Amino acid sequence: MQPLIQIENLWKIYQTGEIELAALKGVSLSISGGEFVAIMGPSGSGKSTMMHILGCLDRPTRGRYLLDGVDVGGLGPNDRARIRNHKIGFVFQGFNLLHRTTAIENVELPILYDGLSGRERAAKAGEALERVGLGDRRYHYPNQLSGGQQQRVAIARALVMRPSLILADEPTGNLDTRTSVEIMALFQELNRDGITVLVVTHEPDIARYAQRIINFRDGTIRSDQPISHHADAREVLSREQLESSKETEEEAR
Amino acid sequence: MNFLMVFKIAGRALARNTMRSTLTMLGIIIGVAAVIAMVAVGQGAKAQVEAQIASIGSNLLMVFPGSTTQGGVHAGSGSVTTLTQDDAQAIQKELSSIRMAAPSLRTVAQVVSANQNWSTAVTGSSPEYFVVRDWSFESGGPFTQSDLDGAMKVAVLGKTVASNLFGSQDPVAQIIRIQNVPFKVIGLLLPKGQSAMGQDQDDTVIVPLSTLQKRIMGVTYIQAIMVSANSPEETITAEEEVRLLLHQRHHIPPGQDDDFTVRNMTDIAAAAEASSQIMTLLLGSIASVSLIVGGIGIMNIMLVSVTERTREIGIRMAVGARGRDILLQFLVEAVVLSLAGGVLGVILGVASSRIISAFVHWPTIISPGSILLASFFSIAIGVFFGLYPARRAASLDPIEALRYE
Repeated sequence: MQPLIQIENLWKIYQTGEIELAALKGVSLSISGGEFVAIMGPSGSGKSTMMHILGCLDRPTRGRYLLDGVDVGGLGPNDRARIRNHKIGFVFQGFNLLHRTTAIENVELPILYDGLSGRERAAKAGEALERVGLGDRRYHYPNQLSGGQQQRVAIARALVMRPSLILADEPTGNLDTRTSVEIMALFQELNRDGITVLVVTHEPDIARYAQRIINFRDGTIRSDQPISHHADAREVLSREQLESSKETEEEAR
Repeated sequence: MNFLMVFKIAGRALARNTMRSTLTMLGIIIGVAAVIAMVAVGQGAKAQVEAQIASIGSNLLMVFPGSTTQGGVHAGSGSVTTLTQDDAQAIQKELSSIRMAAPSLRTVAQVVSANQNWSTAVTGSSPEYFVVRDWSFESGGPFTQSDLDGAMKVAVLGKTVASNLFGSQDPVAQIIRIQNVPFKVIGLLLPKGQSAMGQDQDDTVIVPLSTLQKRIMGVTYIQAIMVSANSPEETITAEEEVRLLLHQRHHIPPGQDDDFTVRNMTDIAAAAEASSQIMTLLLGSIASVSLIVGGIGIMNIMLVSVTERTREIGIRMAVGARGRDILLQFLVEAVVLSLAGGVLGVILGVASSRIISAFVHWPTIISPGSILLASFFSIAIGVFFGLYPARRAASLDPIEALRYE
């Protein structure tokens, strides 16, 4: 089967005046559809640049990037916008929701640029919000939602166009531990439904929910390992719940 | 993305910043209102001038006596008394380009009715006078050629004189006295209003020329001949012909000064019209400056808005907005601002024209053309001044935009 993402000898060189800075130095990588991959690495390792290129926000200087068999490295800005709209869903550390815009309108945003009618748009967006467990928060504004809920809205926005790939850039960076696990549980659920998930993180605790961890350092891949026994976020959550209820029982005694 | 949706989004974005949007619009509102009100004032003035000119008479030439030089002393224009009623008759009979000519002699006299009196201009002329001046009657009618031949004591009253002497009563068949000479009133003229010089044209009594000459003034000359040409185009030929004819009749050798002057009232009309046209243009262009200033205000606010919403632009791009979607969004916002400002400006402009008419008593004419032009310009200004900020938004790098704090 053809891989979802195929990267061959990818370079990204930033030119600032006389100085050339290579953020990616000949990376080759292949990710199949349905994988859950964590990309790790310290800052400056090239993992953010990698994200931007994978997300069609940026173009590589050299090398090939095939997404779903299409060479997207050479596409113009309008075609890249179309790919972002149809095939990729973004989740950011800072949620990046539009203020003073309701949850459902935030989720509708990608559909708006695909040109669907109002009713279809509302139906699809509502469905996506149900899926992330916020069906009853449609008309809430971002500042009326908790951080976890805001990130769920962002995830609903990412999946509303039924993309083949969700790219999450430090999605739990602004969340507490428990909410982070909840968000990872949601990603795992989406992944089970067949969506490929790529999470960029520097927290090993988060990376352990992935099936494969790719480590970046100095613009190259340092290691690329599958995890045979990855953690199940839902299990973690129910175990915690059990423990906390035990604690309260003990306290009660 | 469909167009209606773009307008909806733009409207919502503007509604979020009501205060700012209103203030920005105010520039356009004032600009458009100023253009409409100023053009309305200009057009009103122009129409007034036109009406006044029309009230003098159509295709009119005026012949006045010239000046005399006696022993090196140059007396003023009109000081000679060489112009006679025969000249007027000759002009009417002998010249083909002329429809009609009427002599005119004026004096100021006290006019007395049974129990009222009024000082007014008494004009002596021929029956042609009423045709030349395009003057119709409210009641009664003009005097006839036989009245003129017989120097009959009959008079036609202007509206002002009639209402001062007789109030609202019909003056026809009443007797008035002009310098103790009794006259029978045979006609009342329709009001003409003010002349271009601000004189009340209705403040006059018109009597047969011969009656005025013999019974009141004791003179034989006349002060002016009013000549009506066949058409506006023929006024120039008529002017030439009148001049030639009077040269012959007054035996003026070549090289010597004329003892008369011919004035073409059509020229004066054209000049007056041109000057009011210039005034309209001037007022309009001064007002347009404020419209442009309003446009700069829009550009300023749109630039601020683009900077403020850099992150929003980044988000929109990340979820699939193309450059032209972003361009359209900001452009439409600018156009909505200017268009809404334009509509409100039209309302304000029309309202203030009405207020000017009502309180300052200047005539104003709101032309549909100026409304259309102002609306068109407000949209054009929105597009023109919105394009640069919108292009700036559209050309943002999505990665940079997403990182923007």
